[in-house]
Amino acid sequence: MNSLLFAVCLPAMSTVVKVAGTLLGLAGILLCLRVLHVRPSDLTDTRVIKLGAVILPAAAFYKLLSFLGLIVVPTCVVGVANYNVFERASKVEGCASCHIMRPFVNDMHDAHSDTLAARHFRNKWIAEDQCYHCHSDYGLSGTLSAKAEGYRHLARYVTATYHEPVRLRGHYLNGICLDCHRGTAKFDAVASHQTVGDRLDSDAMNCLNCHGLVHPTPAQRTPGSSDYERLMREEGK
Amino acid sequence: MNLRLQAVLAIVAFVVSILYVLRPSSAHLMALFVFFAQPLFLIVALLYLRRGFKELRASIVAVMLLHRLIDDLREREVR
Repeated sequence: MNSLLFAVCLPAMSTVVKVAGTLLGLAGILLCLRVLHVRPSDLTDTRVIKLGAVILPAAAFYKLLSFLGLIVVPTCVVGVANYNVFERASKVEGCASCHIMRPFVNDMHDAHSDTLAARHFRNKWIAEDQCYHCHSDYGLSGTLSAKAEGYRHLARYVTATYHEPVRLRGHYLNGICLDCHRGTAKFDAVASHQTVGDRLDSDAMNCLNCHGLVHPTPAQRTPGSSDYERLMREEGK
Repeated sequence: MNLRLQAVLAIVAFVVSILYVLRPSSAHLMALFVFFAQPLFLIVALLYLRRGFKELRASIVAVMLLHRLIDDLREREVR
């Protein structure tokens, strides 16, 4: 009952971030405008400023104001805005906001597609954040490198320095698949999994060698191909 | 303390940040925030700290000069 009450009363986190970020940003702008309009005559030792019960020399007051406006509030704004950066990066919608990612997302949502991504989505094998789940390596360093890779993608996208069809840079680690599949009855029942276990562990052999297509092929994602228009359509259209 | 440049740069960074917070779905605004506004905030902080240290050093030098002056005056009195 209590949790239901909280769910009803508490606004969504994205709304909290929007409101907090906007208010903090506006407060920062007002503080900076005040700092901008400080005159040397405001900083005389004789002038004092009353803040309720506290009386401060004007120079000390304006130093405090500039510290708030140039250090404290920006730190808070960066923290709040980065929530969006990191939170959105893990959402499928975040990936889909770059149009070159649409073929992957559209195919994943396609009920008739046989790619691994579509089957994982259709059967709810991964409940949410499907892109991030398979494309960020486990562990702290893995996640950090995923973030760094995300920044690279962002830079390449906004500067239009990419070529279609986009391809995965580097090597897909089996550990990401095995983290969920290893130890399950279905996985252990396949004899070949036991014989190639060592090679899978050392990434000498890739899971995808046997388990087929994970996303649409580069040929399908090449502009001008017969599948390109279908894969690039906006969702809901 | 003249902090006009820092304040102007911070205002620009604040405006970009507010736009991104209000419209997080835009990849271009995200890039502006990540690659422009964030480094700008860092530059502002570094400029502010540099200014602060300069003032602090100037005040320390002023205090040292004052001490030396007082010592000189005392020496003259002794002579």
